[in-house]
Amino acid sequence: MNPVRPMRWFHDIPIRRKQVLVIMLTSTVALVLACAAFMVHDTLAFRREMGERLASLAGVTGNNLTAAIDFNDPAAARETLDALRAVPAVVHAHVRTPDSPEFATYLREGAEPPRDVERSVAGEVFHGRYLHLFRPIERSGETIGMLEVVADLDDLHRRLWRYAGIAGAVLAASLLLVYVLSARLERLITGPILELTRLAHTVATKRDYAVRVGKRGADEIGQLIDAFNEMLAQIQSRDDALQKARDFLEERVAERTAALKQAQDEAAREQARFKFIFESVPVGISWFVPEDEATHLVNPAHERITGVSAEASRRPGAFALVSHPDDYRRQQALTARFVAGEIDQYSLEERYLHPDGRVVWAVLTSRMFSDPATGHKQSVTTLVDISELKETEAELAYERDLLRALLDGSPDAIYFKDTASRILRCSASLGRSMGHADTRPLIGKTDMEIFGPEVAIESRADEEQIIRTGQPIINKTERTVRPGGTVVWTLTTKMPLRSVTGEIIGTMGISKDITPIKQAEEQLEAVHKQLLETSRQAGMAEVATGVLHNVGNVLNSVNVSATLVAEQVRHSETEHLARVCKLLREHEADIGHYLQEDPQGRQVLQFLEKLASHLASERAENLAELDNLRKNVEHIKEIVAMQQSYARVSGLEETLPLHEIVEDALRMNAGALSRHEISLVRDYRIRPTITVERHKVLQILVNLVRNAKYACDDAHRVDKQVTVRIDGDDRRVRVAVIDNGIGISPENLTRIFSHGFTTRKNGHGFGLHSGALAARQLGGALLARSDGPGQGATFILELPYTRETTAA
Amino acid sequence: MLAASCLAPAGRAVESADPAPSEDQLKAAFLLNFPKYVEWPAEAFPGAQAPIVVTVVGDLSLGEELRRMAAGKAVDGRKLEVRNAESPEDIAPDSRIIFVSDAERWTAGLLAHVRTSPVLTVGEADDFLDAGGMINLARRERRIRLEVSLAPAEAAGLKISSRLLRIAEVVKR
Repeated sequence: MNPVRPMRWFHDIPIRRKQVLVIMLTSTVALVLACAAFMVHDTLAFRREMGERLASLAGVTGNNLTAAIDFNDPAAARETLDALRAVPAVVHAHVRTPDSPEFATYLREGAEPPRDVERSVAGEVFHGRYLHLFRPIERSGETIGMLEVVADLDDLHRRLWRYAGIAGAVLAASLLLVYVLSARLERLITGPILELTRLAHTVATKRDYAVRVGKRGADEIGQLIDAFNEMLAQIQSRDDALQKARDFLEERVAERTAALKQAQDEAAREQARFKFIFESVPVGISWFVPEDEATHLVNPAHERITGVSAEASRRPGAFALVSHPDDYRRQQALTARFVAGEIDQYSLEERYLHPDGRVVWAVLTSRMFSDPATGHKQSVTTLVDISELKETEAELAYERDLLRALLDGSPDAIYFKDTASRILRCSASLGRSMGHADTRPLIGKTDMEIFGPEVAIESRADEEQIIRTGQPIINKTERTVRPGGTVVWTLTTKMPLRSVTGEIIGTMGISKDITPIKQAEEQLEAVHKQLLETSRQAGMAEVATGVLHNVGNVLNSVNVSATLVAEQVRHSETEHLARVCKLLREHEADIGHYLQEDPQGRQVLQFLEKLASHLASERAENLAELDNLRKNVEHIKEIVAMQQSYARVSGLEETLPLHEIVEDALRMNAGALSRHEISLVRDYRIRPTITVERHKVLQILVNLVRNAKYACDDAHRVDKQVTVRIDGDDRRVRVAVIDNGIGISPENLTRIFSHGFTTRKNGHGFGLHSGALAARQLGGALLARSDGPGQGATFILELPYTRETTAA
Repeated sequence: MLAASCLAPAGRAVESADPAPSEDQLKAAFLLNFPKYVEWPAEAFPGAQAPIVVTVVGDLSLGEELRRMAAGKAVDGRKLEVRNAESPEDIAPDSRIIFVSDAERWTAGLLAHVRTSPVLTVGEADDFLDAGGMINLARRERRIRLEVSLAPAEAAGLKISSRLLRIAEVVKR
C-alpha cells in the first residue's frame, strides 16, 4: 500500500469532516486503551478469585474424603465427588491415593475429560481452557491422598465477551457524543469558512452578486470576508446595468406569452364545449368522406341509432348490412348525385336493423361541403330517431281506423260537436238519414241548420247543460218531427267531450232511431187498453148478473108477500059482518028486545066482539106483510142504485170505510153463497177509512169472492166456508178472502195472474189478471197463496194506506 | 486397594502391595482405623498419653495380626495396645475397643457386661447389632461393609464421626 494515497484522500474531504475525523480518532484511541486495561485487570482478578474459590471447594471435599480413603470405599468417595455437581464450572475431579492412582473420578455430564496435567504438589495450573487445582488430602497432618479439581474458564470467557460488548457500546455511544459535540464545536471555526464557500458557490452558479457575507470577527477569516464582499460589490454594479436591459426584454416576452396562453385556453374550452355537444346531443352525427368511402367521425347517438360502433363505422360499407336494402339503395343513389355535384343536401327516412332485433326508424339528413383547407368534398350526416314517432303514428292510424269503422258502419247517429254545437264529425248513417251521400255537408253545421228550430232548441239546451255541468244525459227519449212531417223517436245519450287535459271542448252523442219500437209499444198500449175495457165490461156484466140475481131473489119475497096479503084479504071475515048487518036489519024494530031477549040476538054482540078482534089481528098481519113487501122493494131500489153507482165512469176517488166496500161485494154474492150453502165468516180486525176508486176495489173483491165460491163448490165438501178478513199496518191494509176449496197447485200459483189463464172450464181468464192490474193501478198488489191442491187458497188485496186518510 | 497400606507413608506403598491381603489383615486395618473416627469421653482414659486398649475376644490369629500392624502406631498421641481374651471374663476393664469374633455364644453376656462403659463394641455376626453391638463388619460379596448402630454408642457416651457414618450403613434399632 502506498502510504500517500490515504493522505490524498484525507486532503480532498471537506474541512469540517477532517476536523471531526481527527477528534474522533483521538477519542477512539483513548477509549480503546482504557477498555483494554480494564479487561486485562478484570481477567486477572477473575482468575485469582476462581483459584481461591476452587481451593476452598477442594479443601471441603478433601476433608469429606478421608473416611472413604481410610476404609477403602471408592464408591463413597465418588458420592462425595458427585457433590461437586452443584458447581457448574467444575468439569472434572480426581482422587489419587498412594495405592490407587484412580481411586475416584468425577466428570461433569457431557463434558470431555481434560488432558492430564502431571503434578504432585499442591497448587493451581491454568492449562488451555481449564484451571487445574491440586490439593493433598490430609488427616491429622498425615497426607493420605491427592485431590485434583478441574474447572473450565467458560464463565471468564463469557464475562470477557460481555465486557467486550459493553465496551463496544460505550465506544459507540462515546463516538456518537463526540461526533455531535465536535460537529457543533467545529462550526466556530469552519462555520464562517463554509458560509463563505457556499456564497462563493452561489455567486458562481447563480450569478447573484447582491449577496453579502456577514462579518464574524477581525481574525483572518474576517479579513477574507471583507475582501470577498468588496469584490462582489464591484461585480454587482457592473451587473445591474446589464440586468436592466435584460428585464425589459423579458417583460415583453412574458406579455406575448400570456396573450398566447389565453388564446390557447379559449380554443381548448371551445373545443371541449363542441366535444360535449357532439357527444351528448341525441341526434346522430357522422362525418363522411366520399373519396375514401369511409366514415371518419361518429358520435354516441349515431352508434345508438344505427347499432354500429364508432370503430366499425370507419370501415367502408359498414352500414350496408344494417340498413334496409331499399333505403340503402335510395341513399346510395342520392350520395352518387351528391358526389356528382347535382345536389348539396338530401334527406330521407332510413330503417336500421339493430343488433337486438329492433328496427329503428331514423330521418337521415346529409349536407355536402368542401373542406376549406384541402378542397375535398365531405359530408355531415345527421340521424334523428323517429321510431317512437312511427310507432305512435301506427297506433294512431289503428285507432283512427277503428273510429272510422264505427262511424261508417253504425246504424246509429253518432256525432261530435264543438262547444257551439257545430258538428265536428258524425257517423255515415246520420248523413244518409238526411239524404246526403256522405257526412261532408253536415260538418260544421248546427242542429238549427240541419233540423230546424224544433229539434235544435231542445238539443242545444241539453248540450249547454252538459258543457256547463259535465254530467252526461243518458237514454233520453226524444220525439222529432222531421221536415215532411215524419215523426221520429230517438233514444239519445249525450256526454261531454274532453280534451287531453280534461277540459270540456264539446259534446258527443249517440242517437238510436227507436221509432219502430215506439210504434209497436203504442200498438201494444192500445190493445192493452182495449183489453182492459173488455175486462171492465165483462166485470160489469158479472156485477149486473149478480144484481139481477139478487133483484130476482128479492122479487120472490115480494111475490110471496103479495100472495100472502091476497090470500089474507081473500079469506077475510067480512061476509060474517054482512050477515050480522042483515040480522040487525030484520030486527030493526025491536032491536032492543032482540038484542036483549032473543037468544040469537043475544049472541050477536058476542059475535061482533069476536069479529072485531079477528079483523084487528088480520090487519096487523097484513100490515106486517106489506111492510115486508115495502122493505123488499127498498132493497131492490138499493141494488139498482148500487149498480148505477158502480157503473159510473171510473177515475173518481172517494173516501169511505173499507168494510163498506167489502160488505157491498159480499151482498152482491150473498144469493150465490147462500144457494151453495157456503158459510161466510167476517173477520174485520180493523175498520180503516181509505181513499180509493171504489168501483175498482169492488170489482176486484166481487171477483175474489166469486172465485172463492167456485173453489168451495168444486171441492164438494160439506163444511164449505169463506172467510173475509181485514187487517193491515201503518202503511197498508189487506183484505184477505180465504176459502177451504180445491186449492192451487204450485206450478199454477206462479201463472195465476197471467193474462188468459183460468182453471175454470167457462172462465175467460182475465178476472185475476185484470184484478192484479187494477190493484197495481191503485198502488197496491194482488197476492195469492195456497198450500197445494185440496188445501184451500187465500187471495189478498193489498192497498196503500196512511194515517192521514184515516183521519180524513 | 490394600486398606493396610493406607496407613503406610505414600512412599512405601509400592513395596508391600504385591501379596493379596488376608481377611485378618483387612479386619485389623479396619479396627486400627476406628480410633481416628470415634471420640471417647475424656474420663474414659486415665491420662492424655494413656494407650487405647483393643481386646480381641476369641480370635487369636487376628489378635496377632493386629498386634503386628499396630506396633509403633499412635492415634492423637495414644499408642494402640492389643490384647486377647478367651472369654468375656478375661476382658480387662480398661479395654476401649472390643472385637467379638464370630462367636455368638459370647455375645449376649459380653455386651451386657460392657453396656454402660465407654467401650466401642465391634462384631462380625449378622445379628450383632440386634444384640446391642455398635459396629458390625458385614461381609458383602467380596468386600467388608460397615454397619453402625448409633443408639448403643450414644448410650455409652461415644461420638462417631460423621465422616465414618458417611461411608457406613446407619442402622436404627
